[in-house]
Amino acid sequence: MKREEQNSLEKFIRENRVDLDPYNPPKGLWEKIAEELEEDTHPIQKNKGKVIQIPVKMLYRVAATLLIILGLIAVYQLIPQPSNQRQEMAQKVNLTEIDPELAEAEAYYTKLISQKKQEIEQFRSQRLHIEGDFYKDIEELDSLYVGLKNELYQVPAKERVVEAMIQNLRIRIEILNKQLEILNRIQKIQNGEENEKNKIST
Amino acid sequence: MLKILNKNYPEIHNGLIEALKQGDRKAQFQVYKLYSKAMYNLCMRMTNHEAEAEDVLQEAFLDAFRKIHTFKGESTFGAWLKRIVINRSINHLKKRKLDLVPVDEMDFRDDEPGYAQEEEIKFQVDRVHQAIQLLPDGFRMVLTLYLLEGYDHSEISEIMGISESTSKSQYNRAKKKLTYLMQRF
Repeated sequence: MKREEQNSLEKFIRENRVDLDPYNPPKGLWEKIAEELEEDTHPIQKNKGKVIQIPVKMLYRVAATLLIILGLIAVYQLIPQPSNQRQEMAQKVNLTEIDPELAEAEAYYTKLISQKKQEIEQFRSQRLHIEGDFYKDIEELDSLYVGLKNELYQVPAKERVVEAMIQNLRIRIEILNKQLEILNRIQKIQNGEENEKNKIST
Repeated sequence: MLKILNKNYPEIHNGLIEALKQGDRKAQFQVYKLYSKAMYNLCMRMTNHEAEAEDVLQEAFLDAFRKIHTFKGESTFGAWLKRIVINRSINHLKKRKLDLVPVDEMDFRDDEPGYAQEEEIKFQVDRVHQAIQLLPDGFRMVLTLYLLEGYDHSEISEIMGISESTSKSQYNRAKKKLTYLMQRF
């Protein structure tokens, strides 16, 4: 009797075996397992990846920094270049090919101008006062001259432009001459004063 | 017994096992899908603890996939995997410091009230399931292995490291306890 009853429990369990598995495996467990298996199969690669990844990133950063620096240098060098090229173009193309006479004149005057500028600089190095207007005028004439040169390249009626250019050069030389005169006079006066001082003291 | 085994643990073909040996992730997922439910329920019954069951299941599948080359086909794959799950479960229980032996000494008299009314007990899946969960660890494990997983007592003695007679007596006691518990629902 007892045995049969016990068997009925066993029988029931065996008959309903499948239903006695009510739980479903936790969600996401496979992903955890797969992740660990992935680490198993690529442990060296992962480490390598880590070791390499950092220097690669660093290299990219260094490369990017270098590129930026090089870019800045290039921009810095390129920006003033066009104006230089323009001037060179203006000098070489315009003057020797378009108007050789003007080129000669320019060469002559510019030589004079630079000589006179040097003289004035010598005075300045002796601490003689030079009014600011002088430099302003010269600079203005300089830029006017560059403008005229560009016009010469574009405008069909060249003669007027050439005239204006030569006038410009002459005016500059005149200004420089006058400035030099003034400076010479100042120097003479100063020297005279010093001589008188010396006479008095001796 | 074999019937039950076949019903619960479908066998997989050799091609799939070869793929497992290659570490093929798709094959591993296929095996996981095929066995995870039965194995999880086994974990639950063995550990009686949800989080622990999850840990055991994860470790067992990882063990199986990592040590697939040690599977020589002497048993079915399902039986092989099940042994891994059981061993892992027992390891976890040992970590929990639950001694399996004292169950023998548990105060449990055959003439406990209620046995006379066994006939009246209506077996229902839910009640059996709940009652199993209420069994002490040693009883629950032996009952699970014998009645639900189809191991014989010599196998259970080997798995649990107990004698065959202990396995038998524990099983009988577990059965009685289960019947007793079911009366209380």
